[in-house]
Amino acid sequence: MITFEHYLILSGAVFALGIYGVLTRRNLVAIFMSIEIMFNGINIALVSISNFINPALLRMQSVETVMPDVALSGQIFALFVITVAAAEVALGLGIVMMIYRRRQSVDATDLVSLKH
Amino acid sequence: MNVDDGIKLLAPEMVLVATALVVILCDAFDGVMRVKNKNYLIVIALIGIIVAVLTVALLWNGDIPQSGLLGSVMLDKFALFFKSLALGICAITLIILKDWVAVKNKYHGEYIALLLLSTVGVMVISSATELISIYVAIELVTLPLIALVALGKDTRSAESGIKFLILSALSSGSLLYGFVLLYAITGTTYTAELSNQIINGFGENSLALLMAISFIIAGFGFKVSAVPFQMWVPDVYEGSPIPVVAFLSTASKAAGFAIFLRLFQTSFTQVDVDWWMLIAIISVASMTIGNIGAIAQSNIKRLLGYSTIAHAGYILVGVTVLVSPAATLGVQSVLFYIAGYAFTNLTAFMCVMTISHKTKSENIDDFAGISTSSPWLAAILVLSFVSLLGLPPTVGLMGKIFLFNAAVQADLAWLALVGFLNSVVSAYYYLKVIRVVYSTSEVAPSTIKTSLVSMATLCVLSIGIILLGILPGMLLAVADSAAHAIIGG
Repeated sequence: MITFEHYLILSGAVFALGIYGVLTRRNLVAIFMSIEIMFNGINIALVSISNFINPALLRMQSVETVMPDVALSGQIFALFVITVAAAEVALGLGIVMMIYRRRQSVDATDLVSLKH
Repeated sequence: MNVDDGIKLLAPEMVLVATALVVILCDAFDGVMRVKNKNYLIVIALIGIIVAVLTVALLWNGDIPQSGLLGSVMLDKFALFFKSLALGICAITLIILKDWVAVKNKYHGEYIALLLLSTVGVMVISSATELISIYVAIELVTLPLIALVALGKDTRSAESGIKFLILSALSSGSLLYGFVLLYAITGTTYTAELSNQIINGFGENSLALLMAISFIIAGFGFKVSAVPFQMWVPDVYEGSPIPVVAFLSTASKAAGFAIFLRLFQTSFTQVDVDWWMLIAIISVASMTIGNIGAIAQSNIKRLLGYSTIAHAGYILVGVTVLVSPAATLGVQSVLFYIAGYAFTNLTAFMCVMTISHKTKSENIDDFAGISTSSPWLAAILVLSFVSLLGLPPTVGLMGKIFLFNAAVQADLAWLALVGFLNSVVSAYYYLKVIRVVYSTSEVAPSTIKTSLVSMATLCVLSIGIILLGILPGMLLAVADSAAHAIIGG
């Protein structure tokens, strides 16, 4: 039986792997892949929360609310995260191309021209 | 509630988006008309900004506070304060950009359109009251800025662009994870409901809540360039064009603080987690590391980069006050400080750019002798640095007095003391620049020509800096009504 906790643990693990990748990879393209992995970890959490949480149980009766009856916010949130991440990576790959044309290298350790 | 109402609430943003699109189209198709001088694009953008300012003025006098777009945006005086500030910063940045383009002669349309779009992000962020809108608005501020940083197309700007992009992606990942945890605890993405849900037993005192708040502070800390999320600041400032740095250090920071204040005020002030302690530590660290880092710098942009980290630290003093009874005072002084800092910093960058175009160098030592060749420019530069340092009779001093007063009222006198000591440390490097400007050099630099528009802007800005330093009441009254809008009472 796969429960809510399993999804959250999976999401946390994928997110942590992404951060680990960003911090340790030296190839800029691999860093962008790690960033995508990070965002995918977040997406797993968002859609699973949206699936498992019952807003009717969580809702405070006293509070006037504009919240819809089903917790679709998480799924919508995931869609926005995907879109924005795509924009981010498109921008990033453009810059990586620019760097590659100038240096013939996409190694992050070569980026040392700005030093005090 | 229907969607039409919501669109009315976002009228200033719509005007700016439309202006940005017009600018892009004109830039792409003006070859047909054989237009050589592209300065008309800046005029179009300024007209768009004036229209947006008028709509902001209409909304300020209209029916507010008002919530719209299914509760995801809130139009109140707090939001309108930041919208006007963002528009003002954008207008001045465009004037700085005009001089920059005149010298560098490249990439006209994109710069203007991206600046306008980033301003739209700042404006949306100031009224966002829902986690998805907050996230999208933050990215709307940052993504155009990354493109602007990298658009210089030389090695240094590409490098600073990629560093900015990777670190900003990391920070938005952290912010998002914080949002996910909040959503998991409460089942809602509306900031106003988060607080109710948490207090009524969903996750109060839980480790998850503490983690969520820490992740969110990390995400916002990057945006306001606070320690330990400040690594990108010196590199990005050094590698990118001055107009972009001017915008980055003012509008982007204002956006960070706008959402910091609104989210923490509406969602976390009632919650029994001592997050203010975390912010106090970050504040002290930012002040200290920013000021100590600035001392050793020889590049003026890097120096201003470290100084901006220190100023983020001062402003965070005001954010820690949120949980205390002096919260209104805190928010009010933060707003005052941000506005004063923004215009002071824009003045500083404008002078620095004009001088460095002449000396062809961003090294502080090459600024020697400016006072003999262009006494007015030197005087305005000194005025802006005096204001950054916080000496009378400038807006910088008033801002610091209000901030530290708020901290004392909230029984955080130690924080005010640390801030004061740091201001003393900062005197070293600010006064060093002033000393160099007024020293004599063997090679007397020729007179620096400034265009009429930028000289007029500099005059208005410096009069503003002095006037608000002597009579802070006007801006303070506006900041006060804005602060009451989010705190109530």
